[in-house]
Amino acid sequence: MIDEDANTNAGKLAGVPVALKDNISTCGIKTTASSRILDNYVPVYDATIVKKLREAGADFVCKASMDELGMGGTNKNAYTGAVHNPYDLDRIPGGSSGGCAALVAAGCVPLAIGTDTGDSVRKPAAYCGVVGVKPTYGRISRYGIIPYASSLDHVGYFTTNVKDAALALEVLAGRDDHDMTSSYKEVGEYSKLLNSDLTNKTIGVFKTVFDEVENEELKAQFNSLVSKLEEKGAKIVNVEMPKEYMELIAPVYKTIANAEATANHSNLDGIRFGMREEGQDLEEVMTNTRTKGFSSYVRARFVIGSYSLFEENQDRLFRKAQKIRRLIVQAYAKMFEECDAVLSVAAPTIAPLIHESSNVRFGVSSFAEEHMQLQNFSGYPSITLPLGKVDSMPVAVNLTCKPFEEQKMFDVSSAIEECTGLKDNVWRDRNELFCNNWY
Amino acid sequence: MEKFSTEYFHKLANDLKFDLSDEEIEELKKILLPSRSKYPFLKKWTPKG
Repeated sequence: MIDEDANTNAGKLAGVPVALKDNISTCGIKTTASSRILDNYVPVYDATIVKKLREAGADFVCKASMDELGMGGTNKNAYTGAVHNPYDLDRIPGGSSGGCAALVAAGCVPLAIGTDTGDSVRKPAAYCGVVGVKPTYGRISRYGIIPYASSLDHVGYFTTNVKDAALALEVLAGRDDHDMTSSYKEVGEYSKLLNSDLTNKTIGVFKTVFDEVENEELKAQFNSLVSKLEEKGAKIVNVEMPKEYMELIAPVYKTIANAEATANHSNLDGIRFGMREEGQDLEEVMTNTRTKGFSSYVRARFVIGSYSLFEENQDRLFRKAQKIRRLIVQAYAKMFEECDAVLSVAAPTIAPLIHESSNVRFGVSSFAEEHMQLQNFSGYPSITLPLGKVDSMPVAVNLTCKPFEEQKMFDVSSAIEECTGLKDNVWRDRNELFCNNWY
Repeated sequence: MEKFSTEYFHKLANDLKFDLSDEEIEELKKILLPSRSKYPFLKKWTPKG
C-alpha cells in the first residue's frame, strides 16, 4: 500500500517502487514491447507518464513482459518470455499487460503501469486478483507509448487497493501537448475526496453479461456483492444491451484493432530503429527484418488488418466496423441514462491453464469474455476489482462510469472494496518467493 | 490471382514487407476463413451514415 502521508513533501509517490510495461518508452533503457524487432531499441526520450511518475518521486524497478506489441490476452506471446499467474504457475496471468498484473499480485510492487486496448489491464487484473484501472480516453497522455490501435489504446495501471488507484491517477492524468488526444479537463484530488457512501447512487447490474456466465459459484459471489451494495444504500437496477450488439463486439474490435495495428507498425522496418537483418538492398533489408522481427502470430494479424484496409474491402469491412462501433457505443451510453455506474462480472472464468489458452481468437467467442472491450470502444472509465476466489483462483467485478466521472468510479469502488474486504490482496506466500527462490 | 489462395496471401505479406511460409499461410487460412463466415456483420449489417 502506498503511504501518501509519509510522502507529502517529497512527492505523492516518493520512494514507491513502480513497474512499467515494456511498451512505455524509458530514456536510455531498452524498451522492446516484447517484440524481437525492438530487441535492441533504446529510446532517446521518456514517455510523458514516465516523467510524471519520476517527478512524483517514484522509483522504477523493472520493465514488465507483455504480449508482443500488446497483441494478445495470454502473455504467452512474448519474445522476452511468457508470464505465469502467481496464484497458480500453470495458469496464464492474462494479457497483454500480464507481467504488470503478476508483479502486483505477487507483492513485488504496489503500482504497475500498463496499457489497455481491449481489456489488457482489466482482464489480467481479474485473473490475478488485483485492482486494474483504465480511465477515460484522453485522461492520461499516451506520448511515448508504443502504439497498438490508436482509437482504442489507453494507459492503465494496477494497484492492490482503490485508494492507491485514485492516488496514481492524480499523478498520471492531465493534458499533454505532445498528445493531441489528451484532455484539458482538470484532474481531481481523487484519493482525498474518496467517499464510499452509496446514498442516492444507482448501480446498474449488467444483466446481459451476467446471464452468459455459467460458473454458479462466481454468480453467487456476484449476487452476494450486489445485495451488500443495496444494504449500503445503493439503488440497484438491471441494465441490458441487445444481444446482437454484444455478439458484434469481438468481430468489430478485431477488424478495427488489426487494421490500426497494421498502419501503426509500418515504421518498424529495421531502417530507423530496432533490430536489422542484412539484405542486398533496402527492400530486402526491410523484408528480412520484418519477417524475422515479428512473430508468426503478429504477421498474421497484420495480414488480416491489411486485408480489411484494401480499397475493395474498406466499405465492406473497416468502415462498416467503425459504423457498428458507433451504434454499439450509442446503445451502451443509453444504459447509463438510468444509473451512475454499471457493474458486471469481469471475466466469466478463472484464469485458463497455459496449455489450454490460445491467442488465436480471431473467430467469434463468448461476449462474456469480450464485454470489457465496450469501454475501449466508448472510452468510458472502467475498473476491475477483486470479488473473491473460485477454485482457489481470483475472480473479479468490473465497474464502469460515464466519461471523466473517475471520482464517482473510485467512490463506488471504495464501497465495493468495503463489501468484499479484499484490500491489499496479494499472493500470500511472498516470503517463500523472496527467501527460498531469490537467495 | 485467386482470392485466398496461397499465392494471394504471399502477395499480401510481401506488400507489408515480410514473408509468410506456406505453413504459416495454411494456419492463417484456418483462422481467417472460418471466422469470416461467422462474422455476422459482414452479411447482415448495413448501418446508415
